[in-house]
Amino acid sequence: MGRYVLRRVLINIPVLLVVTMIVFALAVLAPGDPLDQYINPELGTTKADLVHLRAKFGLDDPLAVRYVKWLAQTLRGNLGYRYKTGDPVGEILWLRLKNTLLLMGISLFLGTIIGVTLGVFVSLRQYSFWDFSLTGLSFIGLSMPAFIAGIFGLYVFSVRLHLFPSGGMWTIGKPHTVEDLLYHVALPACTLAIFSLTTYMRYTRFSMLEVIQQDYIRTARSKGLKEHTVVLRHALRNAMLPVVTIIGLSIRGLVAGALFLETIYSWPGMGSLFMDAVTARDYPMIMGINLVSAIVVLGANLLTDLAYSVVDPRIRYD
Amino acid sequence: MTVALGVLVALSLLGAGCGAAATPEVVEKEVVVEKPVVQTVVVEKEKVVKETVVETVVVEKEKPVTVKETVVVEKEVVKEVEKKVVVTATPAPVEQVLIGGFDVGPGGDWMAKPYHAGAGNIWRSKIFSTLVLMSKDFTEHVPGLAVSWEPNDDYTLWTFKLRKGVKWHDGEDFTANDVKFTAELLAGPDAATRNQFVANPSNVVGWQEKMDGKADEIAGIQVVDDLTFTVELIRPDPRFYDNCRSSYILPEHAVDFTTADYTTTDWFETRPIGTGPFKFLNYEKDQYMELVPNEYYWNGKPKLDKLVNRYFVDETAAVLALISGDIQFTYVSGDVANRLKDDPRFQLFEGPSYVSNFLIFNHRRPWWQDKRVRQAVLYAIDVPTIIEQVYLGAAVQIPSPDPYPAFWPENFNTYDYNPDKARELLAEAGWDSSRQMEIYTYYSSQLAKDALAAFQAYLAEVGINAAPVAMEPASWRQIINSGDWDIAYRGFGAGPANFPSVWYHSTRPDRVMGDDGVTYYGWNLPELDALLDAMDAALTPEEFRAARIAVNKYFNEEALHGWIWVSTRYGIASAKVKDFWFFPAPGGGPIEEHPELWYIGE
Repeated sequence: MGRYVLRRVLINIPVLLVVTMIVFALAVLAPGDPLDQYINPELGTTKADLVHLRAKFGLDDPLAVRYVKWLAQTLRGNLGYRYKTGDPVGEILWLRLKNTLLLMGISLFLGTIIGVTLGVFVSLRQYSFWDFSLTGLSFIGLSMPAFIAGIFGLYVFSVRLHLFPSGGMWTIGKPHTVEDLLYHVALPACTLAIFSLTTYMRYTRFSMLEVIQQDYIRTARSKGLKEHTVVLRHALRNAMLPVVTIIGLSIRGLVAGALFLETIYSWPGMGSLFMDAVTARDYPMIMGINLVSAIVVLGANLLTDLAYSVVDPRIRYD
Repeated sequence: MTVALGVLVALSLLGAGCGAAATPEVVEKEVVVEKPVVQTVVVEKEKVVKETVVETVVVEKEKPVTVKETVVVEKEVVKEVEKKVVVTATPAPVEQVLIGGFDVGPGGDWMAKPYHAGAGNIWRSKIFSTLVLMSKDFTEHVPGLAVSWEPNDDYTLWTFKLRKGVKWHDGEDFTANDVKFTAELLAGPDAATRNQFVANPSNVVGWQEKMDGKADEIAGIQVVDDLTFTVELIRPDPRFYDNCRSSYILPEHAVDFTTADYTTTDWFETRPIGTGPFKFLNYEKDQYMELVPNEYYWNGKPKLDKLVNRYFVDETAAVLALISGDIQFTYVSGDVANRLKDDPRFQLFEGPSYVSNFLIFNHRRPWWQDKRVRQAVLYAIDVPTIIEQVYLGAAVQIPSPDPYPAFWPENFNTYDYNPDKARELLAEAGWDSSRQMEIYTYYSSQLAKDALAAFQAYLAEVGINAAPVAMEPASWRQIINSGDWDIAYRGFGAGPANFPSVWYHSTRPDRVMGDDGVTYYGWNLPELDALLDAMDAALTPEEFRAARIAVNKYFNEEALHGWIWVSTRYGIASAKVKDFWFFPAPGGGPIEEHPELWYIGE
């Protein structure tokens, strides 16, 4: 097991390098110029000014040279400064990452717990009233655009009912407390959870229905085991494998953030940061975000594989 | 069982949220309130400047000037009596906190850092002050930190007099040394920002030498005394004061970063010191910035206890926050303004964007070199109808790229909708109606999409096939800079004393883009070049106006581009905010809006 993990980590290093290389090339080759925002004809920006800035940011170097420069700097722990704002990339990443982890973490947690629970619940009552209504409702959850859900949530719970604030992370002018943070995170997290819980519910239901018809479940029942032991220990554990895969794939979202909901709830997370960086062709920021995302995705894949062995004892890694 | 658990979890979470949502307690009391109400009246009157008062006169050569001066008169108004039931109580003081989405919309930029971006002046000007301000409707230059500016006879030496009694947020005196310091802080071989102390800085004597590292100071900027400095120019500039309306002054004694660190310093978001009406209290990165009154402000301590800027990525989020009462001001687009304008809870502010929108033609394409084809585009599009039906009246048709009506020629050709004439002109020019073109634009709002769809339909009517393609600004600029495009849709800003001719001039060395010998748009028109040169060289305001009108007349007659409109922009504030002012000036101003007088009423 230990050796397996080590091998996987070592394999991931070249993968990570290739990923950063590709992203760097794509970002640089995309049309547009980070200097665009500096062009202000009203203030008399001239060609000479642009030449100066180009040299300052090293934008005239060949692609490979720029990549190596970036890599050397990054390996020394310096992710550089944003072209757009001058903010240190590392600091901004950490700031936004914390916010996104909190929001996405809570929503993933809620989505998983509620989604799997409901999935098990309806799978045991196939074609019942509950099955039809919850499966039907889940279609709305799956098909509603995030932006609309966000506006709807904000309108109903903030504008109309005044139960939650209209976005943001903190009450302005009040000391930062856990209560205040929960008060602000509740609405966006619950909205986000709706999307994940419907997915998990449907996967769990489908997977459970398949497992429940297996012979070993009949055997378990015929042994006289209690129903909850049959469901939880025999059926659910076997049904979880595809669900774990889906949840593993969702971990990426923990750092990628949710662009639309972050935007509508004014939640300063990674989604809106990435959008901002790409629009401004802010290469240092784009690369910083991609580095973190790539590491997390590779890590999540590893964790998912390890989780399989916990869920399914037949899977062994040596 | 399991479902009950799930529901329980969901409900408990909802409950936790509700519990935390401490809705303000509203107790309706019936009271008799007797209070003398001091009302602040802002009276605008023609120049009445007393000897003892700090002079606020804009002197423009050879012209008797009348300057509008804002006089603040405080007078006691009648006692306000509210009578319901006889229970006497002192009214609770209204919390003087104003939270706004001051950087929502096209005038906004999240960074309060001066000299970094063209936009964002709405918020920046609350902390820092510029030498010259624009009037509240963005039509005249009015005193900022400088109270007067006078040129010598040939407009190469400008003398600026500074306002007396101005102090920095930390109580230190503001002097002319701070002005020179700021100019020199921004210039140097390692300069991090290219937005300089004044617009077109290369015309200031010694600036280039400082930029190149050949001099330690900018020789052309000299401090005469604490309240006077001079700027020497290489070429005459009769409107140099206009170059100073983004000149935010920074404190020599408090700035602790160097020229090279200007863009990366955290000074601006942790410890900025300015001379503006409000001073820095706290900044939550990308969330909000809190300001408190500057007790030393030259026009008196602001009435608000706190002014807060909340950052919104999206206008809809800001509008929802406004309606829910969490913020008291935001920029809004036309459709929202229309919906909320009659709502008594709000007050609407509106004004021209002073940004012209038009279809640009790439004159490198042979067919756009034919005036008849260009005019056919204008005759084919029914601009007034689109303004009425798509923009709901919130735009004004323009004759040229100039957004200022004061410089429009009289009886200009409006190219009234005439599809037959358009077809006729196209036939004469031998138009190939099988030609397919794309209209590139960086405008992504629904309104812009609807307008472009209308252009497409009108053009198709006369046999011009042009399909709109929306893209983000970076890609748009890349395509336009490449010179390989047919037609595009863009915005163009200008000021009342500044019409950036660099965009339209074929040979000026400082023009932004364009191959040698042609403009950004691919034309080479000596006649237009001469008109632009005459405008830039005009000495008096009258001469300037006449020359600018001549330029616009040429633009209008030649239909060099497809001139469309200047749209109206809006801001909405809570009706409780009194003496408030918002004007959608390009880049957010800075304009004379007196935030020190704003307060929250009942």
